[in-house]
Amino acid sequence: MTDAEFEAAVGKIRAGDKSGLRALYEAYGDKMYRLFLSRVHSHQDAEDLTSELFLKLWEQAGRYRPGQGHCAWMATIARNMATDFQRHHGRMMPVEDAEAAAPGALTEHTTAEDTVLGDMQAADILSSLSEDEQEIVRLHIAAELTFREIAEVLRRPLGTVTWKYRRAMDRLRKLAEEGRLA
Amino acid sequence: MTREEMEARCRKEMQHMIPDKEALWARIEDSLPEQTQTEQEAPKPRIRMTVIYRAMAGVACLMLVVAGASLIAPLRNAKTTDTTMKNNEAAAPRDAVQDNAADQADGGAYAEDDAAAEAYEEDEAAPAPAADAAPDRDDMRQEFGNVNGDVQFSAGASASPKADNAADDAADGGEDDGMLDYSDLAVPQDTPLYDSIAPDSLKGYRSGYSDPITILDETTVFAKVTIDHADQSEDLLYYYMDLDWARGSDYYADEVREEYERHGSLSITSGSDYYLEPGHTYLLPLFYGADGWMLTCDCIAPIEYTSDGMLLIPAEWSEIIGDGTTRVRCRVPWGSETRYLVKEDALDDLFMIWEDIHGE
Repeated sequence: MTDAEFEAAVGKIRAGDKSGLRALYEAYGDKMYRLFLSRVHSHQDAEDLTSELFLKLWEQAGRYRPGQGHCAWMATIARNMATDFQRHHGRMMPVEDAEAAAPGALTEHTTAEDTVLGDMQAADILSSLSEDEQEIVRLHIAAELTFREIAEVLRRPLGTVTWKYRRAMDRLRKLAEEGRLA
Repeated sequence: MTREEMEARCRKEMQHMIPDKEALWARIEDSLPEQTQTEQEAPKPRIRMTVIYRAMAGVACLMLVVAGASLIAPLRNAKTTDTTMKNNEAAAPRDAVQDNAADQADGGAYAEDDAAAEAYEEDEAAPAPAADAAPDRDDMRQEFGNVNGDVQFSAGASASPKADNAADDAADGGEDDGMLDYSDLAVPQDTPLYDSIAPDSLKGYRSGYSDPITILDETTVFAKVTIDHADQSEDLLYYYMDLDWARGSDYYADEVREEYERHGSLSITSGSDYYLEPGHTYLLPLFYGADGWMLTCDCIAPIEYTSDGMLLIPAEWSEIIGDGTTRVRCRVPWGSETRYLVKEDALDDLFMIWEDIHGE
């Protein structure tokens, strides 16, 4: 979705037209869900947070200023929600949630490619990274933000973000080669 | 396994979709009407009150301005001294820097959306770096922007960052809003060293690295120093300085410290026309060359400390250090150029990358 399309959708939301929110949901629902899931490791919680996020967008669309970068704007709101959620619920996820977050639990939605991954979970992979690196990987891979958008969300220099991302990938690659992942 | 393959693996692992997208939408939609009604009913009187308050405030402001103008006019005619003007100008930007620092410090708070929303006014048109680009240092050099590769400087080379900066300033007309002047900073404001050196007296010996990754790659020690004095010999300058601390591998950092203790000062040789000013404190990237300790990057301005805990960095470093929101106009022998003011802890990023490069 381009900035212009996003602004058009926001215009509809301001006018009370649900189709504006629906357009945002179609474009970003899955990405925001993935971002939440990578933080909270529970499908149910990720769904709840996604639902809350879109309700929040409905209420707060008026605060969006055109030209400010809609992906980064939404991702920041989502990230803050996830942080609040973790504060209230503790960072450790329940075992049953961890199991639910495993690819095997998504039988209806898993593909043959998922099976190749065995029991490697996103949570397992990311846990070997620093928190900063985890966040950058989540925002780039789960929420599909560009590095520039991530730099805006995290308020870090672009060069630092790209460097940390590459370092994170290198570290994961080494771990995978040593058989310490999956 | 390549980095790209690892990335693809992560991507597959994280490509979860909402299990039942329609059901979740139905849930969201069901919650909307109540929100809409409360939202639409409540704000109307508030908006009206806001309009009234704003109108009242506007009238009050107008009256103040008129009253103020009639008071100030005679004073202006009585000729305000330049000194007073300067003091006022100096105070205002300093406040701006403090505000800026406070804003940056705010970054960790999760005061939701208002604060968050204000953070995004950057240029969206700038291209994002490709996620799947080849992962070597050449690519990092490209990603760090303003990178000219390894530039061999020659007099008047138009490809230099200096020329770019000068051109920027010319385009800006040097009158950019919110831009500080070097004289506004908490640094010694004596006569610059370059006033006593003929502009063309230093030439050559400027091996040129201008991109941060190469500089970090070549640097064996970072030293925080305060310049004591400089001696000029033909086309080289010999700087003598007090060492605050040195950071690097044990071997090289110890070498620097031992030299400082042995001679009572640390000396470096430089052919750069970015002069290091006596009494000023810098963070210098150094390597041990044929002439002893030398600056790794003669081609770009040094990183300078201010006495109030800020760092003045040249544009070449801005993609690594800090977000570069406070711009500072600095005088250089060939005109002026723009640098950035950041907090000292921004160095964490620089050292992280530097140690990463040398740890490989």
